[in-house]
Amino acid sequence: MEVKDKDSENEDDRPLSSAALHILLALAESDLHGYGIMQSVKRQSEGTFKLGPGTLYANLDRLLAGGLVGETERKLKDGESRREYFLTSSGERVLRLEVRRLRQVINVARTRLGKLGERGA
Amino acid sequence: MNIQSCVLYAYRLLLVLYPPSFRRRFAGEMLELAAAAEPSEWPLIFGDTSVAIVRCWLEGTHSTAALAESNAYVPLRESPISAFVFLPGLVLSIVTIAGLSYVNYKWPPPCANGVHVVMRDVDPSQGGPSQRPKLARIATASSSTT
Repeated sequence: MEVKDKDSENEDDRPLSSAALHILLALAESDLHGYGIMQSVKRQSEGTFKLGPGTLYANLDRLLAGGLVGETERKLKDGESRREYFLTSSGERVLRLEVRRLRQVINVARTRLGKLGERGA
Repeated sequence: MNIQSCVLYAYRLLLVLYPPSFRRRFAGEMLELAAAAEPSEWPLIFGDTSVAIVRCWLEGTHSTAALAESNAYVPLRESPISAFVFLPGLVLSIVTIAGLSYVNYKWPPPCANGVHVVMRDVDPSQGGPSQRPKLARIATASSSTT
């Protein structure tokens, strides 16, 4: 079992890409394997964000290296094993920061768009 | 051999183009993922993977970076992209762009306004202004005009 969980302050400062945000959100629900992440992303974005395997594993590679996601081998009933990915505590912190950042953007957008509406009326 | 087997074989060949460290780590899973995909998702899978391979060569894989991270310190003047890593990515990019250009040349997309400009040889025996064959600019409209 291989688990990586390390703090990386630099990652905290940078906004996440759409793909990375969706992957972390999917893993916030439960530990998943690659196909599970793809399906979860499709479901949570209501089909608007389609994640291909190239993008998925390139992002997983980056997130694993940054310590935001960990990986573990899970034994299946038929004796085979499957690699699953999980959100680390560092990943959870980065996800919360990103959501807070997005919330600020939405608040500003609401204010500005509201003003635009008043001007148009 | 059915279509799915052919597609998976082609996808396996495509995965060979990944850097070895990335391929060893993720290729098996990517193949499983492609095998589980619907036929309608195959264009997305191939397109997405092709772009990701080029980016992986150009940006470098983190699979090896993570292993070297503990004692590696790259001075500012030393670029982590070496010629050995850069050249295969460059060749792959050129091949991809040339392939896409050929497809675009062979099967051009329809013009937005429905008008195609075609360059054709004009036969001088049919009332052409000069003896030499010339290229004439002929505009053809896909929609009927009055």
